[in-house]
Amino acid sequence: MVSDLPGGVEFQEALRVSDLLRLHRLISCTYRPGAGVWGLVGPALAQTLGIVFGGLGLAMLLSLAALWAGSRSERVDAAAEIVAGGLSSVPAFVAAAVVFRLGMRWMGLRAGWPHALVAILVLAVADGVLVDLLRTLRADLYAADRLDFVRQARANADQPRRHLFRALCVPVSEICASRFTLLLGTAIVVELALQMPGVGVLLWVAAAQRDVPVVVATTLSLAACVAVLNMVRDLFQLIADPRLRRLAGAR
Amino acid sequence: MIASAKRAHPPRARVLDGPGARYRALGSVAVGISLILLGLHVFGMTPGIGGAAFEQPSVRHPLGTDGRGADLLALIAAAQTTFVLPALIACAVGIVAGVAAGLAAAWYEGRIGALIRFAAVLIGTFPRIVLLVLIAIAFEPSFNGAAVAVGVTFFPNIMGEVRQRVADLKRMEFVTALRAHGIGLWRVIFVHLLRGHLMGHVTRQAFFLMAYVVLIEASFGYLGALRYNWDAFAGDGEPRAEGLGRILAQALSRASIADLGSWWPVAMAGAFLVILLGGLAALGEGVVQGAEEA
Repeated sequence: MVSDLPGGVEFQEALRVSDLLRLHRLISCTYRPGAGVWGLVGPALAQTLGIVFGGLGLAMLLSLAALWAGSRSERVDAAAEIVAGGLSSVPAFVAAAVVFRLGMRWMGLRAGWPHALVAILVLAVADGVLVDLLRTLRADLYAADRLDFVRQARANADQPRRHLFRALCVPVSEICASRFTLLLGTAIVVELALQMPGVGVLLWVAAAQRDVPVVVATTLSLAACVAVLNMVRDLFQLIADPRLRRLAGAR
Repeated sequence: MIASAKRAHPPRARVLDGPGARYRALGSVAVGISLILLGLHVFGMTPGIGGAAFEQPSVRHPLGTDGRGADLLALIAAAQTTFVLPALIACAVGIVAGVAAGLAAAWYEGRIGALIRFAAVLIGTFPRIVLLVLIAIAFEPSFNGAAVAVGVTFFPNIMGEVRQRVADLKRMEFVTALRAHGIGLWRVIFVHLLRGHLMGHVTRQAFFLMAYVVLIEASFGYLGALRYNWDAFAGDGEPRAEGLGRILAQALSRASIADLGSWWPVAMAGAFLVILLGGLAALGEGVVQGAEEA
């Protein structure tokens, strides 16, 4: 019941008399005295987005490096697949806790920026992201290499790399956008495991305390990030692929 | 014409032969270990505190003991019971909802299809773990109840794959031929498309969903155990079934940084979790590789 929550009676009363100003004040303040919701969510969201983009970038770099090495030798390719598969089977919370504790033991890591580095590393390799990216990129590269215009460019002794790059833009942006949502979820678990002050801890604590404004703001902020990234992906694909522009124009 | 339509159907992949056989063999071994452990628990192996803390592996304790002196093998065997039923529930919900929605969205591309796609996009916009954290904390369901939510949040993945493949398949000649010969729509969909062409992909999604349930159970068990200092023991002194996440949290909370011997339970429970997750993912990959090649 809303009335059971702290400030719930006041909220119901404001809703009953349609006092929008009072409603706005109520839903933009958390139950913590004097704290605005955005003051809590903003910094936490910035930290979480930082480690998510860091993890995604590192995973992409590792996948491209593995593909480049694998293109030179089949054995290296098979080894990269096995290593990526093995690393990806490690759950993120286990990897975060173990890596950080071992880092504390051997390298004297303390809480702070080492947390963020461990989180980025864990997000890049654990929970299936690395092997997923590696397999998808390999399949996309294989498919793009057999496209008519790429083969034509090669037959004309033209450099096919430029064409390959453009042909890969669409699937790569698709992968990045879909893995972003996945990594946001994983980042929450990693932050909780490392007790980092990000969205994960904020959401967990707010949900446990029934702090509805913070929960709503956090959830909607995360959903807005996903929606914005999806929009950026669509725009990027329109720029990269003239066929999509023509299709959009025809509609 | 019917004969030619039948010829268009690929033969089904064999289990331990052909493409993806290594993945399937690897996955079968991992799932087999899990089932054997479940059997050991069902037939009487229960975790009790019978040894010293952090005991090395011996005949009495094949995997050693944890910080409380409980047998690790028995603890890990008991942990199987925490995710088997939730995994089956999540699979049932996710597969039924995803396949039904995918078929409907592909076959009826108008308003119904747009509505289903919109629902999938809406659910997909919220990170899955965020929804599960909110459900877990707001409603405090049993994990079986949370498994229903896991199945629902997974439905856009299954729906997307089924929709895309059925939309491609329904334009193929053999479907037109079957319909022209009076074969009913339900028979075409369920027998010729679903069983004949989509079984491998749906099975892969089912294995991924199972792996996801195991991962979520372990993650939430670990985080819950950390936060609430979960008491794993009932009042009579006998331990109740802990999930792998709780075993790991207990082990990590007692693992001393200075003493590598205390990392033994972490390594055992962690290794089992990695083997199970990797095995389920490999099984899914093997099944789909076999189906694609066929």
